[in-house]
Amino acid sequence: MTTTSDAEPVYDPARLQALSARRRRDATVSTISTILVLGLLLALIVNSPGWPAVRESFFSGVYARDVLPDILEGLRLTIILFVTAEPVVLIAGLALAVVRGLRAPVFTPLRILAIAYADVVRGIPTILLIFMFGFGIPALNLQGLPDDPLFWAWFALVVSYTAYVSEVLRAGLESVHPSQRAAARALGLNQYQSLRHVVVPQAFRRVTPPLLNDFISLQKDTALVAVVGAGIEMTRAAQIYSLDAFNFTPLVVAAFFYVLLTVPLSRWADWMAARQRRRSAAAGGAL
Amino acid sequence: MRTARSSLRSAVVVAASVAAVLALSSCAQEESVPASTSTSGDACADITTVKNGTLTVATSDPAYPPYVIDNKPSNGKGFESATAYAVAEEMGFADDQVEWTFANFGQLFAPGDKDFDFAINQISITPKRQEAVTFSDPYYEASNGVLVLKDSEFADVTSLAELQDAKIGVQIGTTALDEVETQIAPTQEIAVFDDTTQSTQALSNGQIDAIVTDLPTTLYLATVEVPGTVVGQLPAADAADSWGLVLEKDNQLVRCVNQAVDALTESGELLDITNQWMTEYSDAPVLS
Repeated sequence: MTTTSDAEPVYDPARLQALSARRRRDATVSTISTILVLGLLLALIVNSPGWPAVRESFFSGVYARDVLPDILEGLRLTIILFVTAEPVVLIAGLALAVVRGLRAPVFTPLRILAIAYADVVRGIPTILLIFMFGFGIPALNLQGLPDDPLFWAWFALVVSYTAYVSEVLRAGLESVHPSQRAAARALGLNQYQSLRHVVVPQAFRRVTPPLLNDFISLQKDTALVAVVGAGIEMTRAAQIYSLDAFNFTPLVVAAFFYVLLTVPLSRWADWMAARQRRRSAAAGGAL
Repeated sequence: MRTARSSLRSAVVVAASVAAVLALSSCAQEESVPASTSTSGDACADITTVKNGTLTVATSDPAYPPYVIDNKPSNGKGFESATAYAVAEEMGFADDQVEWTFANFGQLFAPGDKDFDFAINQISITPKRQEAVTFSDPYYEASNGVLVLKDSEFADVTSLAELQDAKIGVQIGTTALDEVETQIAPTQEIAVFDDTTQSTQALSNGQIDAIVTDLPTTLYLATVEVPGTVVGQLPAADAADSWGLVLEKDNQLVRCVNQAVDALTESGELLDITNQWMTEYSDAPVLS
């Protein structure tokens, strides 16, 4: 398959040879450069005067093995928290974004409320929201409301991240050219149908990377539920062991699992974006 | 497009600069370790402190009664503040040669140089912790108390078994979590809080039924912070829960600190300080 301009259909053995030689040289240089730089950085760290103490404190194999069952137990709650929170955040965020895009004058109060929500909630540190919901609402002694701090801490996370996600989605919705909506209406789709089938799908694809940012952030912020004593998620499990043993290794183990949770998501999003680019290109770069 | 030569050149530049940093850093040798003190009887004869001529003592912020009063360790009031000044005096530091600094839990065992000579903060001596820090001889033997609200269904319990169905809250980094697990084995998950401020709020809200933490703290909370009652204390675990002063691992100053703590113990001064600040907060029936 001939796709790049490098391979013009002019047969020139000398030119091809030169090209492949250059590629080999490039590969060699990048390999050597990578090994050299990473090796030197590693040497810099392990030769520093404090390295033995740091290794013992942060990378103790004994403690890492010992804390693993506790970490995995905490990981269960961490996963439950973000897997249940993310769909709710997505739906609520989309609703808020759509409300902000409503143009009819009759919707003005709704629009103002949506703007106020995003402005106020994004301004409040998530940890304070968790304190306010986790301790504040149960203290009201209202009948019929749960007083489980885990529920309210989860709810506070949803409230906080809905504000961020609504802004991302609003940007996505606004990035879809008005002609798309006009075309959809011209085809006979009503307001809802054009939103559902034309505008929202395009908006979502465009904002996948920032959306993912927020979800990765949410996955880590599940650790904040512990401040109201709401259950032993992964970070709290690590902290408990860490303060018991006076060693930071459990936190490093927890960090490893957080990375493990986010990497597949990032690769998946990159793949989605690449597929999107290919499809746009195939469609003549219309989008 | 970048040529092979230019990428080779930039690789060399990057490698060279990393090498330069490496060379610089290996020049930064570790600070000289203070020579071990003389072998004569007085361990405090020739000591090195973080700040010359000054003893720097660390505690948490906030620090709570009855250990520190008004969150001001420098006022000499409260059990741990008074103990620190007594230890300092034995070590040869007058009151005005004692400086206070704040150190949270993590700072106590973070690798690297410490900015305090010793920390005093109700830290239990355990074998695991001794691998990361150096402890002084104990200055207090603590047990864990059980605090509930006066109108709680658990206000009249007299045994550990009756607490099994209670939702229990503890503070992170205390021995209470282990002891509650082994001695009470509650049916509900134990709630772990950062601080007494949070566990007290949860107790008031009815989100937990009981707080288990060191007995003096529970008694203090019951008299001052919440309408509560201390139903009793947990039986002492196999190894008594002893609190020690925390020093940087292998800090030779510990010999002088221990000499001071031991002298205070033998002279009865430590007992006097304990009685002065802790009597109100150290009596509760032992639960069985």
